[in-house]
Amino acid sequence: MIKNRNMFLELSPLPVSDIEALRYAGVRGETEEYENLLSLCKAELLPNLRGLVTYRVVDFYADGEFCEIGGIRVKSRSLSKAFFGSKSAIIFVATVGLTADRLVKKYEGISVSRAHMINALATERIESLCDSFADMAQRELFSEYALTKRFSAGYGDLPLEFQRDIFMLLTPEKYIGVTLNDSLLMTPTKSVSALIGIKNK
Amino acid sequence: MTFSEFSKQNIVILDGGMGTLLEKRGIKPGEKSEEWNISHPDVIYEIQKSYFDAGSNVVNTNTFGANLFKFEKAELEKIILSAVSLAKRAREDSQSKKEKFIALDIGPTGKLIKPFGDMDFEKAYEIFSETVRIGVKYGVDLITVETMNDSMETRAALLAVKDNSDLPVIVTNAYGTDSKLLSGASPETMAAMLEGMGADFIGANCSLGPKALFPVIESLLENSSVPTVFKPNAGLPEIKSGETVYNVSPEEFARDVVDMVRLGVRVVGGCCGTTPEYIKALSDKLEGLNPKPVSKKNKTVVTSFCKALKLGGKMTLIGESINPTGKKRMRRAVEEGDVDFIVSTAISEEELGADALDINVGVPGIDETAFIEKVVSSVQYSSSLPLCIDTSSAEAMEAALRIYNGKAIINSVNGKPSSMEKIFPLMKKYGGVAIALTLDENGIPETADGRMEIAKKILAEAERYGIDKKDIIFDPLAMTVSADKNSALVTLECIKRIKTELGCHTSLGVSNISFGLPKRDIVNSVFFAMAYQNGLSAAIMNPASAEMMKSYYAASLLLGLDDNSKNYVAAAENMEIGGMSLSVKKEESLSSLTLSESIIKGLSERATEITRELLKTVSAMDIVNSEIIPALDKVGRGFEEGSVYLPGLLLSAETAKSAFSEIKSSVSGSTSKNGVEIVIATVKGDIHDIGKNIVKLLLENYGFEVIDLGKDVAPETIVSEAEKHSADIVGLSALMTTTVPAMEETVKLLKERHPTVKVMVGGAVLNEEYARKIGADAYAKDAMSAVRYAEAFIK
Repeated sequence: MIKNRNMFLELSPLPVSDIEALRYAGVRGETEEYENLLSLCKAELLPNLRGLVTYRVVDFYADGEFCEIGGIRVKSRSLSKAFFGSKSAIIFVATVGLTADRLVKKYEGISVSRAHMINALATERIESLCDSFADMAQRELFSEYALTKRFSAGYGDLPLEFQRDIFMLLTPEKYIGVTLNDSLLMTPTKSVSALIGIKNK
Repeated sequence: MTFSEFSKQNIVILDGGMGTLLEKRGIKPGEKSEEWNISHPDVIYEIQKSYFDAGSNVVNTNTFGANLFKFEKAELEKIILSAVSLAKRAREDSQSKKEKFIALDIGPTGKLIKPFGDMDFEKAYEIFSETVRIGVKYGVDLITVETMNDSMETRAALLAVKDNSDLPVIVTNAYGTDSKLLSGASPETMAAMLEGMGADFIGANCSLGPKALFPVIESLLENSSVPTVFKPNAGLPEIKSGETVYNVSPEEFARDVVDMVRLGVRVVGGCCGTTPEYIKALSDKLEGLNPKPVSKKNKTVVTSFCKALKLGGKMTLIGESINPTGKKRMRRAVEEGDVDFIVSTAISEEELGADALDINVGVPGIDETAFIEKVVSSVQYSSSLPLCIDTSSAEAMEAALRIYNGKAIINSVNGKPSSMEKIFPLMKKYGGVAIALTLDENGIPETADGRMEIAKKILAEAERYGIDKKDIIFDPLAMTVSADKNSALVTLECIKRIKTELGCHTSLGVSNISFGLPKRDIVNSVFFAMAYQNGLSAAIMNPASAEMMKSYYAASLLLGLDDNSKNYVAAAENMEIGGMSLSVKKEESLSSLTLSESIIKGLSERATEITRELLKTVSAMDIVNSEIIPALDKVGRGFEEGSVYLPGLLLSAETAKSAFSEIKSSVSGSTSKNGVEIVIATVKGDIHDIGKNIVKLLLENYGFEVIDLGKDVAPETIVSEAEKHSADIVGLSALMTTTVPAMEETVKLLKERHPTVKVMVGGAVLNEEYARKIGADAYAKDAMSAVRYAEAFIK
């Protein structure tokens, strides 16, 4: 059974972690010579990013083999294991919006380095948005409970096709403009869909 | 009374939320609410009747997602028929004494239009058209397009409504806390675009509570000449003791919405979280309140996908560089279909200070319609500036306007009946501001009086089409002073008179004035300043011309259009008095670098400069072999060894590319191709192509001929292109496990039809083993390994 209706909110961004962004860009060691490129990308990308999240809380049940999430049955041992002890779960979709896609397209033919770095920076931003959503959920919604790490369709043996169920449950296209195409890709591409298990402390 | 008549005299009350009420009545998540028109007709009827009872003048049919994406055609027809019948029955049975109307409700498709999504604009248009046709057939009073968060999809829906019905249409968008749509458009942008396309009511719905949307509504009221619509949520949902509640009460909601009615909003209602109780509160509060008249805003506004540009005051600079006439490099780009060069020109014009960009790709022998569509689709998202579509082909004009995400400048129409017959209907359909040349079938009049006559004739004809004079900018034409000493004076007189006598804006292609003269920039820039003082609103000019920009900044300052001299002072820092160019600050310390070192460090500008210098004394071949290739090799090896990271590799590759491009523009013929042809593509269904673009850049650097087919490419297309180019290698990229089957299918088809071609594959989900399994000849783990594999084929 559904515990609540669709919720949606906008979160303000946390500061950018340059090291993470550069790591997504493939920079492992000395970062200095890439900082200039990164700061150019920040100046163009950051002012136009959003922090949109839609979520709902659903019942969760797992028997080690199958899971039932908001009434939808799916076979997944890894999710069963990761959410062991959870009786409910948060199901959410988050996005930083379309600007990253637009800027990657802008630079794809004229500066791949810029496109690549913007892509990496936007990845850092969407990951950070998911983290801040999870923190908010722990702090403000479920302070009495313990939350698991987030788990997405495609992790372990949870089939990517579960994306369709997430979209059916949440209709994020209506609330935050995130759409799913036939190949199960989300657009804006800098979007994440995931589950977070809720269990007793 | 029709809805149009009613809305002219009254404040219109729409309905409230539907989803919230259906959830209370047991609809399950994932269930399509439109199906309830058939499975639970009484519930839908009861909700709609309760809205009429509460005071709604308009109730939406329960058809938010009723479209061909979600339903088969026969089922769709049944759902819409049922939806309209239920709303009609609710209207008949309601005891409310108010005027009551039914609106066909249309929400977004849930898919994103290309280039960011995978839905074709025409597909969206067809989907919406079908819903409109069915709804109109069963008899509704008006149509509502709502909750759209993408301006392009809003365009598709509105176009479908206008093409398939004569009913009044309300268009409302879902704005975020930043007062923009997810796709970036501001309310001012939406007002200009939608009004231009003939929306009867424009507004905001959903996403936020009333207060948070005040800035959006205020902006719409200020910019729109049609009635403004306000249909917010009951605040935001909150969880309170396990229950979801919206945080704005009916009374608070009504008070906030009525505050906006006092400012001028004419159509109100509620979205998510609102119920008949909210509509009742709103209706009570509106009792006795008279609607504020809607005022006509005489603003000439053009827009990009995100920005609105108002003409008047400071001169609007329309960059002229994307035009092949007299520009060798641009002409070659157009002939070769080099969209990247055009995009980079657009970006540099924007950086130089242009306010809008002229787009002209007219070269004999190319398919102008197809190419202008391609260029506009790319440039409109690469730059944030409005575009000025410059073509003499009505077909190309329509193709460009149809996919343009905003309100474009249409360049141009003139006083010939044949021109007006073609352009005005396009303007009416797609919106736009036209540049009208004061010439007709008898040519260009020599006198100002003659040109004014033509201008008046054009205005009269535009009015017949229902086009407002604010959407006509006159170009009184500048003819060279070398042929007629008074020609500048005639043009200047026209500029003044068009402004004072006709109340219209003007635009000029300034540089014509100096045709046939030496040092044209001097004449152009002085004429530009004179025209500016006479009231010229826009100029099609070259923002890279230092003389023009100096004149622009100085004249803006002298005409009182530069507060605190801010723009002039900022620009002056980069101006060289006496020099002919706006200098780019040079880092002196870099001047000792060699070309090779510049490439390794990824310093593009420096590398271009050195290459240009070297070309004076060294052969192109030597530059390539002794400077560029060794540098690329060093960086490539560094990447393979892990001492250079991907962004570094890319910066060097781009720098090498700019050096190559410098060589290419000075030497005719190919200097560096190695004879191996590679067709690359991201496979069908996959829209991530940054990896493929990285591979392309590297391959090109190493001298391979790369034919890039783009992303989401069908197997048949890849095979036929490989055949057409007799490719040696086909490179395929896929990012998702779901698109690997498309890759496998492509490999299979290639091997069947073109057995000699080698296939290399790459992408996040692939590995060596997987690549073999799907029949590929090679797996490239990164761009350098793709280069290494391809090197084996150099003959």
